[in-house]
Amino acid sequence: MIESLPQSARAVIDAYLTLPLGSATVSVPYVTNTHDRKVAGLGVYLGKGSPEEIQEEAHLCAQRERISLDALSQESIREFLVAHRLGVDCSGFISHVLFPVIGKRLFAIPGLGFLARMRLRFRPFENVSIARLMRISEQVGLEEARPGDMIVTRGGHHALLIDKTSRDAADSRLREIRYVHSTGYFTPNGVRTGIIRVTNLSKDLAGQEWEEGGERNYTLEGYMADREKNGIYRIQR
Amino acid sequence: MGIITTSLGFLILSAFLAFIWAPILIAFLHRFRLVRSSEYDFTRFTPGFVYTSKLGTPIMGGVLIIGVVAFVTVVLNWTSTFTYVPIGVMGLAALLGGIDDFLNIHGVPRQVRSFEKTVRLIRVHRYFVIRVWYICTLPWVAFRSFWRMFGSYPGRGIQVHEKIILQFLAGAITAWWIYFKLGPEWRLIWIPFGGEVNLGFWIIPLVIFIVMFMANAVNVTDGLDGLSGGTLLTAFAGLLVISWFQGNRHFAALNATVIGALISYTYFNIKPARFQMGDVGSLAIGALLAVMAVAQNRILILPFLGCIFVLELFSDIVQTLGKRLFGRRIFKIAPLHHHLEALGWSEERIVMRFWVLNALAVCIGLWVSMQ
Repeated sequence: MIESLPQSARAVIDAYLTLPLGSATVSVPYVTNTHDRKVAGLGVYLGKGSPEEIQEEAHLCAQRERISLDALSQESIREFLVAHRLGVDCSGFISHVLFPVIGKRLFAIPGLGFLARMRLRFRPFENVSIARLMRISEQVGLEEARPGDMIVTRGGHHALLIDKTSRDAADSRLREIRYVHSTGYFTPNGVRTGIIRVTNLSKDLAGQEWEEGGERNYTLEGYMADREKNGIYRIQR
Repeated sequence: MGIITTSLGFLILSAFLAFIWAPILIAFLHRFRLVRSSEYDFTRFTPGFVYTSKLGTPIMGGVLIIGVVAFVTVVLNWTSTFTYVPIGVMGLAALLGGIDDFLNIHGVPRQVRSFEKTVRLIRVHRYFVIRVWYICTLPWVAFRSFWRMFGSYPGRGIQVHEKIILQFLAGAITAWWIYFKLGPEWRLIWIPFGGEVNLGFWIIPLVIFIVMFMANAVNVTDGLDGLSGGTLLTAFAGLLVISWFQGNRHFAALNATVIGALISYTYFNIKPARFQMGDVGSLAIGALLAVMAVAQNRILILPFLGCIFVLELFSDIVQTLGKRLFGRRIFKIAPLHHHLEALGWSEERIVMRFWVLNALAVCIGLWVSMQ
């Protein structure tokens, strides 16, 4: 029995994974504003762009620099995007994917001051972070995981989005989680997919079999190391 | 009839002089390499990447208009009541634009420290005295950073905040002239369909704002071959007709002189341009347009006379606000003519449609002006 995200959210994920640019399709690279802390710029340069915005901005950059994207290979187009800081970070990716499903409630974050609320109202995607998404979420157990839940890692600094879950038809036991995220952890970085095979439900997430890009159990080497806030979170709708 | 005949004479004389001088000016600008360099060549959004690059085109063609208008006016139309301040403001704005054009070509890149960096330095600088200095100069840095948001390119020339100060000065001179030199009747603002309103002291900020606004609006519009020249032609034609109806010979002659120079300028500026106006021309003629509208008591008609300029500047402001407040582009690229280019409109299509639209707006403005 397979459960997956609604088609509207799936379409956004597909657009990030196979963004058509020139004659190729590329997965959107990872860009974060954490270090630069730029404010008041175009969201698309702050790691918060939608696929359409990234595509449009890439075309504008190419026009401005007299580069024909049609003549570039897939690899060169990705380099072009990285060089222009056109990409998406983990929270930007999750919020854009979930926005068609959850809508503006995604940005109804409690406990913010006046200025923070104003910033969120004017620039919602740019002011969403994993920490803020966790504020409108509740933690759930592994067995309860379902599409649309976030897997928070690195103590709340990164999150993956559950895209599909597979359960036994007979006893509805969770067998597999397919996730999608935007990460700078792997090469090539950016929007990627992975699988968590649930081998032992008595163990936590780190105890399951993780696979991404041909690598297995990478999470046990620090990325999914045991941290206080790690776990599966469900955004309140 | 006398006023019409005289002003047409000024028009023909100024066009004639400009046509004679234009080839010499073009050769001069080429000789001294006062030409568009690659880093300022933003007009390349032709569909299908068939670039119509303007690299190597001389950029101080506005000198033609300024020179001819100043020469004809000083020699044949000089009066301390009507023409010396418009010409003075035009000259001041031209000087500012000319320095900017020159520095953009031959200057060295200028680094401007951002507000964020200054705040960081206040926190971490090892010397207390320097930290105090940064704190004292923080309002200036904030002013500078604010205006930088509206600048298209930090570059080599005069920075946006410096331009704003100098344009403020040009506006202030005009306001001073209107308020202190021309008497109380000049503080009356004509209202369409409703007589006149005495603004008193408030005429000063209004005039400063209008001069700064129009100078920048023409500057922003000057991005396609023939666009600003043709649009200014219709705008000054509107002012000329108004001055005929007002019976002011000096203003009629000055407007006609500008039109004559603009005819010659536009002839050489039509695609493929032999030269471009540059800041020297756009800031000066924009300021002059505003001053003339103020002097002829038709401030409220200005949005009609310079309809395209107003739309272009608003598109720039809206784009900046969209980027800064909402993190999104409202237009594909600003100002409006670049947006239309990005949508696939050809340069000729944009320019000619804008001419026609401005001509229509001028007709509407004239109709309103006669109410």
